[in-house]
Amino acid sequence: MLGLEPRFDLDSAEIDRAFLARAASAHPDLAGSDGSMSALNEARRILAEPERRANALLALLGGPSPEQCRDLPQGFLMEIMELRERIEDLLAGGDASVRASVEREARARRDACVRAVAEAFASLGDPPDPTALRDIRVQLNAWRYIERLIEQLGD
Amino acid sequence: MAYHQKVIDHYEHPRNVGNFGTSEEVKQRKDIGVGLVGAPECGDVMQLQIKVNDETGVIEDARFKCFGCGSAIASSSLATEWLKGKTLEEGLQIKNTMIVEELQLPPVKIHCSVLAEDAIRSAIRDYKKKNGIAEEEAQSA
Repeated sequence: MLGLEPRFDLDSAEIDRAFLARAASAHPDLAGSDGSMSALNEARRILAEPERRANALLALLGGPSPEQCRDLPQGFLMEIMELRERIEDLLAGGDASVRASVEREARARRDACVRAVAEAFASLGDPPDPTALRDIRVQLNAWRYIERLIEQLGD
Repeated sequence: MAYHQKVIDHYEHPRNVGNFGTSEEVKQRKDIGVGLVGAPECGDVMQLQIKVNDETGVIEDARFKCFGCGSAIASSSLATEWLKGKTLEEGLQIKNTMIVEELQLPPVKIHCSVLAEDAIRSAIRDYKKKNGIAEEEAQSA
């Protein structure tokens, strides 16, 4: 996407540079069309968000979709349920400092997901082993629950 | 997004929220079946507990806890209402399509009703397993 090499470990400056280089020629005011500009915007949106980028990369490498593999790490659902009940109890007090610490904890969990997935992508062989791709899917499935928690904390 | 009035009603006044004890406590109780399920599409998580009369096989009470969108909460709330007073076998007859119809869920929210059906099946399976009741083989339609 955006002419970038397919890997997870991309920084936002790299993505922006690639986007701008292409946007110059795709813009409808210049030589491009609305269609090519919106495709570029969509590509940037996917690449800029680590979870979307990871899902797109896994699909590109031929890994399973969430529909094809719904598995989670052993015990994860129980862990997330307990975490969410604990957070619900904590937030019931309505204390702003508690909310801030809960949000920090949730973001720390997201960072841990990003690191683990980055490591898993980096250690894939060529061609990638199907079992390793499936393991990444399981990690991404778990990651979704953490993103969902963060989304709902923002509501 | 415009939710149907029934979804809003369940969301604002969810029925039977909670549990019959901590996860360790209910694990020890043979009269309680627990279903814990998640939707990988959205990251919603739902727990359903059923309390069964072991003589009659009737689900006497049900509780749920759901961290998800309005439709997921409404689907699980409705499921607890429907389960009460049903036998285990009748409970297994509850299908996600019935929930979709009752709550008028739009296509993008169908997976919420699937989650509720999964939770029902999983809670009933847990109760049967605890009580040594054989699972019926999946019947071909």
